[in-house]
Amino acid sequence: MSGRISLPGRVRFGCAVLVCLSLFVSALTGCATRSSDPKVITYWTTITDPITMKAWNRIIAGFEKANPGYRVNLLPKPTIGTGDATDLITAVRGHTGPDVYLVDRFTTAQYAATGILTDLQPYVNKSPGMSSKYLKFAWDEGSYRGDSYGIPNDSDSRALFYNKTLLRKAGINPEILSPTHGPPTVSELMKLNSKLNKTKNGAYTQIGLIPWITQGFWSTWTLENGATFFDNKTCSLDLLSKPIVDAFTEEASWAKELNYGKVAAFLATYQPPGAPPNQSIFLDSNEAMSIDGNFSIASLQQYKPDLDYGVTYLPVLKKGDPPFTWSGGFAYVIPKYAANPDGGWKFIQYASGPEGQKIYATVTKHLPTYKSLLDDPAVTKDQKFFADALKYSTSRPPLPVNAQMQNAMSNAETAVLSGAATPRQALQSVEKQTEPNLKQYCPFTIPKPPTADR
Amino acid sequence: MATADEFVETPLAKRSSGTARHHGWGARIFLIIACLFFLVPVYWMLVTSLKTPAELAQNTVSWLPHTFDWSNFSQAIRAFPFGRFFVNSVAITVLVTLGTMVSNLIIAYGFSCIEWPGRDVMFYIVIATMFLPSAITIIPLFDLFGWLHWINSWLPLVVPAFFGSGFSTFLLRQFLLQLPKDILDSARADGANEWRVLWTIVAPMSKPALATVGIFAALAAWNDFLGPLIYLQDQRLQTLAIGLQYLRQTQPGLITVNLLMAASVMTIVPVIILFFAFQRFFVRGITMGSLR
Repeated sequence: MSGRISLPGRVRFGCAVLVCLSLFVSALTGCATRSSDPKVITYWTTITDPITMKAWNRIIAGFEKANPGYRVNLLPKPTIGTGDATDLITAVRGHTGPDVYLVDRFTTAQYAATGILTDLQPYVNKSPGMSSKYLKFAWDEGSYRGDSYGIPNDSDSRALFYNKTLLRKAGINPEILSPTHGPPTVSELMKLNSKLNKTKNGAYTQIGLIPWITQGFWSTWTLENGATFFDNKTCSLDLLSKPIVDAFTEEASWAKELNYGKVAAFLATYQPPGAPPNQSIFLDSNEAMSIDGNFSIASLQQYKPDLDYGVTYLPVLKKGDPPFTWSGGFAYVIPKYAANPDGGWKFIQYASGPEGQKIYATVTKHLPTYKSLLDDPAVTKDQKFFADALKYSTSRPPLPVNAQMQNAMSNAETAVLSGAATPRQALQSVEKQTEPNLKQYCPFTIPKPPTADR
Repeated sequence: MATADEFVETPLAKRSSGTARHHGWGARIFLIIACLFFLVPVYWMLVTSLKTPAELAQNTVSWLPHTFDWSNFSQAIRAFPFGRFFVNSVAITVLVTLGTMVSNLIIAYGFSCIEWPGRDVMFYIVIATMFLPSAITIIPLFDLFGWLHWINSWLPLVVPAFFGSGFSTFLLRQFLLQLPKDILDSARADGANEWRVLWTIVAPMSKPALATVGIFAALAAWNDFLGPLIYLQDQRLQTLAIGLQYLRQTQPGLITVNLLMAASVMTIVPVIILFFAFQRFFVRGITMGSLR
């Protein structure tokens, strides 16, 4: 063994070092610091699919045309899951965050409470009457301690979808579910199940309605029942209140009636967890009725354009309850320590205003939160039913522990449905997990939801 | 040393040899079935990447696309800056792999081939870092890199690789402990200093272990999502792991499974090539660590 590196070896080594150095240099020169130019705005979007990216680019083009000299740097920042903002939290801590960020609206209060968002109320105060131009529930959802931290962008609403062909095959006239009859009750729909459910060797091959999947989960039933989730007087969760316990009790009875285990086996076969949108029991005509949102229309049009379906009001728990739905959506926020908050606000005003929301709703087929657009057929198109529902819709309460509570409530729901816990036991467990975290933000109050007076 | 007599086949040996062969076939068949089982998801990804949205909507098991829709690949490339992200991923992966192999070899050499007071205690401390959950280091590391003004560059992704890691150091140290000490001592007796011993004797003998460490480092860098997500704030610097999420993270109803699968196929090809190129070293590197 000579131990010496031969000349060609030295040349190769030198080349390798040069390549590495050049890569290092290119990585370093790639560094871009935040611009101090008041006309340059950095916008991070958490919705990055090709269709929505098209909408962002059109909104930015519209903004730059309407505001000559301004430039918006768009950065797609995909998240690990809905409501995740790890990148924002770290960026704010490092003072390297953007001027505008898009959050899942129900998490706005949580991020505001943790101190990573700028209070937008001083900006809102300079635009008198701004809040009245938006749907109230959407505006309230972006607030914390009475101040606005998130300006609403889009929205959605939920309804009952029904497969007319399957209903006819079971001898049911689909006309009985027409919206002209008002909202059906869950118990009425469960009665239809006896005609629609089909089994083979004891296992379901078709079900009429499973009221606890897709958008028919605890949020839907508790909100419909008038739950507030929070007591403004004591600054504490009221998860053991009657509307919530009753809604969970109803869910337990449905699970018992349909046999939760058999339904789980049916779902594992026809719509396993994480299945792509094209693998859906409603699309595949294995479920006759589905509680879902207007966002599923895109899947229906893309994957089953010939499906003969109708849409009616969300089912209610008690006969005579008024029409009900609830909504989610996204909001624009300005992170703390943004380099150009004034520029960011200027962009938010455009993007969340009539011009921006019209582009967004038209391209993505989402619903706007800017009220005047809801009467524009060019915006709502074939979603008029869902757009009209927004006028009486509500949203989840803007609590600073929303993400944690959502997870805990979902676990509680599973425990109740499977019979592992009673509604009270499961909800007590959620309170025990969530309440200590909530207490650190007290005192604060939240807006009263429109369904609270039921 | 075995003698020739030991290899004379007795009837019993013949019978057991036949049984072993029989068992060998059984094991092979089992392994082939297991391989197929593990290949199904990869095959499914490939097939889905070639299906049309209309065929995907049918939701029936079709093992071959009715129509081969190659345009999914061009659409996936256009959905995000695929070429730039690909180059970025390659550059970061090369640098991380290089840094990991060099730094950990030096560290492992110090922990295995040189005697010094407190060596083993220090080694255990290094090993203990493996038990630190990565989630709790996110904020402190971000603070550190922010203080260094490294945010929005590749430096936070690449530089740590040049300072070793518990797992790679452990793997290489276990390998180096098996090297005959006499060879190293001979080199030292001939006047070679520790650097020369490391680079001219130990490094060439450690190729299997280095390849293993390199592959692990390359895979981790190639698939890293969280690091690029939080440190890179300029689209020109982002990587394929982020680009794939552009297609995956989406609003209900807008997902394009065929494009996601097409992009995924293009993303895993370099990883598969890398694995097959170094497969021999990789398997040896893994198993040799357990021979001691």
